Amino acid sequence: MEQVDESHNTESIWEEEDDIWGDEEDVNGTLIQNREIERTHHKQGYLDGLSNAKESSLQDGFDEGFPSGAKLGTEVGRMLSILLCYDKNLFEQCKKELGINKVLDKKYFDEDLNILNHELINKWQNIANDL
Amino acid sequence: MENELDDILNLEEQYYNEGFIEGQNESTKKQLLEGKEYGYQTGFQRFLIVGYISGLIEFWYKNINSYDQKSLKNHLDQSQIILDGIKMTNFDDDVEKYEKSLIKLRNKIRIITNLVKEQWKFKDVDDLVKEIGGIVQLNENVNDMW
Repeated sequence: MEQVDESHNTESIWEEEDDIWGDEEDVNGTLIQNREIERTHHKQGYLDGLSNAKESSLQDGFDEGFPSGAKLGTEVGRMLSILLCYDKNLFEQCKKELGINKVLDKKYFDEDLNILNHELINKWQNIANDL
Repeated sequence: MENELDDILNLEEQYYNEGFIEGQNESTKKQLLEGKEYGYQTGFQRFLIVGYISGLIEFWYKNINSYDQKSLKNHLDQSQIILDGIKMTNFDDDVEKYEKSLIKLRNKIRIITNLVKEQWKFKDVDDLVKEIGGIVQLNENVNDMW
């Protein structure tokens, strides 16, 4: 059986098909068969792989996110008590703006959930520091 | 003929393994991000009160001269030491220390607020923590989070 060279691209297959003396059936038959084998087994492997995530990944992710969330929580808590001490109106406003849903809004994170420039936190830090 | 069969089987195994690794990497990354998301939320919720207490201590230090309480500085120094000992990591020892430190800090802050007659600054802290860090509100678009 002929081994299909991975570098054997589609264009060269069609070139060979035009060659009436070439071994068309053998080349194309092997290629199609090979593609079918690849498709079937790659897909089965992929599906099995999907249900076999590395066991520690959920915990690893948690441990990675926890300290960053803790820093954000600490900063929000700090600003709230400082504002409460100085200005109750600002405290009430801050409470509305810095809920967990708003602070953890996806717009402040990249696709790997690393914090980008957090404009909302920065804004309130400036307000609290100016008091 | 036997060699041809071996070739096919090897090829099948190779494609299966390639697919398996691809699928496993994808689901591992997905789980890692799910875990990270949950870690962010939990860390945020658990440290709101730590930050709140640190803000109070910061305020009292800054305005210490407006209080006529000689023992205030001593209580603040002790509270600050406890606060500085809390780590933000999620290792078992750190979590245990967090729990113990928080009990001590709550007691310290109650003593201080009684001393300076500012109980109002701490009495609603648990409700505040629930309000700010509580359950993610499902009426908001959860797809916008992460």
